[in-house]
Amino acid sequence: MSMRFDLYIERESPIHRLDPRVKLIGAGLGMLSAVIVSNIAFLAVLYALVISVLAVARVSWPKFWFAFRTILPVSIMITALWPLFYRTGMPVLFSWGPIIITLPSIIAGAAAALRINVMAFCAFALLYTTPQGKLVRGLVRLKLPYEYGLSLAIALRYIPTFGGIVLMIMDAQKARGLELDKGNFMRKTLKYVYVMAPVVITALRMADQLSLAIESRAYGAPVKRTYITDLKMRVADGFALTVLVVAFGGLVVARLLYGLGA
Amino acid sequence: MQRKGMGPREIALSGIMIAATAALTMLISVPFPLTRGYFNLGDAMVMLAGLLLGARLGGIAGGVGSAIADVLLGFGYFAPMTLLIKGTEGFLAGLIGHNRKFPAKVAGVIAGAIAMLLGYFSVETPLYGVGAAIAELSTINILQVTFGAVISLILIQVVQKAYPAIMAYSPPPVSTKYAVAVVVAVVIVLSAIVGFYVTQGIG
Repeated sequence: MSMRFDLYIERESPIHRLDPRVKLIGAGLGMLSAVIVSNIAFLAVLYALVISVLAVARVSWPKFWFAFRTILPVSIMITALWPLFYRTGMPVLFSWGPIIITLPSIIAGAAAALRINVMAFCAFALLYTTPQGKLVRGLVRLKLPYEYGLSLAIALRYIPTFGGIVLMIMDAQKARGLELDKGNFMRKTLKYVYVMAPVVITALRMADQLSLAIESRAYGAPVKRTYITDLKMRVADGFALTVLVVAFGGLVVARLLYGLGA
Repeated sequence: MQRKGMGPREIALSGIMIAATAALTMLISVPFPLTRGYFNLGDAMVMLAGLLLGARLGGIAGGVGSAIADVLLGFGYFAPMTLLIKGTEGFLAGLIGHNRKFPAKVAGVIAGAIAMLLGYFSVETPLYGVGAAIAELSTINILQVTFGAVISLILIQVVQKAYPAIMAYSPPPVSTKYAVAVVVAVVIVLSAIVGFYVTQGIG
């Protein structure tokens, strides 16, 4: 499975220009909308909406396909297993012993799969269009305490490093005779201790040095903090945010008061 | 309740451990094309983080690290729930097992394992349907927590011997009230999520 350390794709598009806070809130509301709606037609509309956001963001076809095929196995499994466990309504399409498959339950399964797809694409829409630095900054502006934002930024910066370290240690241990592809499942898995122990110890050493570095830069000094990258909401951002909130509010009202979308 | 906030030591430790957890979760994974798509040894890291660093940092490293791994592997929509569930797993492992004798460590990882299994099952049932939830529970998840527990118990002893300096790190002890509050909060949030799903007509 291809592992990318950063999902961000650099493009010029209205979506890319949006303030990360708007995108964070938008993705969140998008996922919530998918959760409160169960009707497959409504979910299809949401799906179309989120795909069009990706299109406006000029996400290329290979990237879209990566997102799609990551979720595909889950979708298939949900749709396949749902009718086996939830048997509701008519007409019954197929019946054999304890297995009763009805049309409504197949549709419900497909709706559940579609819901997962909507949620996944909401996340992708956010992550394909927002660089990590802005994401963290957005979270901190949305009231995540600064220290957690710093911790998160450090983590994101070090993930590729640790990717390299894990591979390097695997090589080093292989040179010392570790055979990671031999043996049954249990043996193979337990052998990974020989990789994980050095990685953890390396991590602890790095953390020690890093904490010195942080302290030596006067972290925690009682001065008002300034930032290199800061976020400003433009008119377009405010407009987009309003549209999102109003649309979501409308959906909630329609769902709760009028029972639409059930 | 004793909280000195996050000093440089905590920030560095949590940042690095988050990164190590995420990297290991992503790299040491066997594709298993159901549900979240991969059998991985992330749980070993989550439990180890708890045992090694205490409840708070263990919860942060385990939860955030696993959530980031989810995001980078394409399952970003699951990240908030993974954050909660794996965070609790690390938190409980640390709460019961950190700085205590071996039997307490075992109890800690078992508690973490139960939290992970229950948590994922209760969130996946409304989202994926009970069939898929059972499928994942009985295959990948149970394997992950079993191996995770065993491996983390091995690792904690190895690391303590090899790097005694880490034992000089004792986080401010989590007071019982705080711990209970966290567990209760997590249970409430998860039940709210599940209840929310159910009342909206899913599952």
